[in-house]
Amino acid sequence: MLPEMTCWELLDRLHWMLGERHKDAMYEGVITGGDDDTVSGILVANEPSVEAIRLAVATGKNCILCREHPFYLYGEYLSVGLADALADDPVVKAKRQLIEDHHLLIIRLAALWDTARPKWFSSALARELGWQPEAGDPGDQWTTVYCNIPRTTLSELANFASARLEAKTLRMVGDPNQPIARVAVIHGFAFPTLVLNHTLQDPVVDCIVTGNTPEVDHCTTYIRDAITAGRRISLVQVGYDKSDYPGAVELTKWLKNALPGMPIEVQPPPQELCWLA
Amino acid sequence: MSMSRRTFGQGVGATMLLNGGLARGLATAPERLTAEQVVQRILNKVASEKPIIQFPGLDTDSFKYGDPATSVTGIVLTFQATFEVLKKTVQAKKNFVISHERMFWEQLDDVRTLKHDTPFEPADSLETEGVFLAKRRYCEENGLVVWRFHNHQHMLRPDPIIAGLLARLGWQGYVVPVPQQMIAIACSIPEAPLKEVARHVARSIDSRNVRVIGDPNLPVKRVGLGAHKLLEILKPLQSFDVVLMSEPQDCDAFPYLRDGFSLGLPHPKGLIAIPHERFEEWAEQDAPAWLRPLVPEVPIEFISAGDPYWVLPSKA
Repeated sequence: MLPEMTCWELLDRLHWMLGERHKDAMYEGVITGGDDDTVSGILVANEPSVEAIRLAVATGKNCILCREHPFYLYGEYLSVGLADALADDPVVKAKRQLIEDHHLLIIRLAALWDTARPKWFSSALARELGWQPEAGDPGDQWTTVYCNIPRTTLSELANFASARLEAKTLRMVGDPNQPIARVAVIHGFAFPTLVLNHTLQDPVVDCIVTGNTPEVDHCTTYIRDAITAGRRISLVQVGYDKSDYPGAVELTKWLKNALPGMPIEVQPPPQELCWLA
Repeated sequence: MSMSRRTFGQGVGATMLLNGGLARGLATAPERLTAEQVVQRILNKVASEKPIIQFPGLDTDSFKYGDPATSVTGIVLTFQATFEVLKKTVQAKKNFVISHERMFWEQLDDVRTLKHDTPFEPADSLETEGVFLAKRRYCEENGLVVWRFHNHQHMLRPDPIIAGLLARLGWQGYVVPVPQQMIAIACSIPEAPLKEVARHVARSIDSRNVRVIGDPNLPVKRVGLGAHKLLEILKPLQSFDVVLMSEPQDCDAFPYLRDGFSLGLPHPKGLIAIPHERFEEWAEQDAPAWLRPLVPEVPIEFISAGDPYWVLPSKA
């Protein structure tokens, strides 16, 4: 017998356990479906992709808990004008129809996952890489976690992360031979410059491992300038999806304990979309 | 000239120069060439090709550091005034940097506004942080002046940014007009599989940091061009076999492509994503030849900002 739970009750339960998500979170909450819809099962998928929708339907789950927006509205500057531009887009139309045909609930809670403590997604990425994140200040708003790691070089670390995460399109900034013993891990999109600047306030961090950063704004160039200014630092971008997936796995384990009896599974790791020429 | 933190970042806007500030500079210093005189010559050249009033958002182009009245000893053109480019400028005994992209990691180079970048982070500013201060101090100690030449440069016809890239790719002869697109040209190239086209791009721009999305064997004949955000590549993705873009954001463009493929729709088909610097720097490499007739008095050279990334070797 499944626990009877509506969408509203699910959200209420999650917020009761984890606290409120940031009041300024953009494009979050219930994106498709309604508060009164009964939840038959939950698929945790960072990206509520068409693949994820089909998996949810095939496994009898009508709810996808996600980090991303089904219609590509990340938030911030990236989404300015995008919703209007996508109004008649064939990809969005077909996806919207698929969602409606199957009466799917899609709930985006990226800000809630990032507000919850201890830091979920960055810690999960660090643990996936075999590192132990330090306990942080509970009041710390940043998503960065810090790890002391066995002494290595940037080149060795990049190769290690590539193998461990099964990622082939990592991008690095810095001297390949730079010694590294302390790493800042930031899941997802390390943005804006203040996030990177805050990380450098730890005087012995050698390397930032993240999913992705913008290049000329808020930004990779800041790290390049820090290197020229004399800071011993480097940057490893493992890929946005790759950096977030360990967090989805840990979140799923937590949900299974928090919602006993509810069918819950995590989407298998998505294949790396890019390849290098 | 030492600029206070409060006055720094306000710069001297190009629009102010056009409103008479420069005329005074010309009248008072006929025997020496100042940075603002160089800028005025550039703006006059741009204005002679297209009325400036028709182009929005010219506030990107302003002095980012230094006194516009500084006598110019030499000019460096670059894609971005990174700290390393500034050091190479001093080594080259030049003191005026003309940079296509921002100097301080923000669209308008106003670090005071960076605290507004996101609601998720504590109110703060980069005004007092170490890298900013070190870069600024270096400019001050070496008498550097930095001016941004972005939107005005894109006003030139043909747009030198696109022309420079196409020349590098050897695709000048394949250009077709696409007036409804943000970048109003595309390329109709001899048909080849996506993997071959992508390798050609990588070789041409001298970078291994070329990320590709799509079936490696996809036949590619029509290549659209795009900027950086999903919003800016939607139309070409829906119109062409592949879109060549720079600095994509994994979190908006990539999921869109993944879904398009899963749905089996005719478009989008593919994407070739290269670094911002590798897409645009060729224009700056060509820019000294464009600028020398306007500013014959001082030496002018190009300094590369360089591909910011390195990638791991491919594994078979």
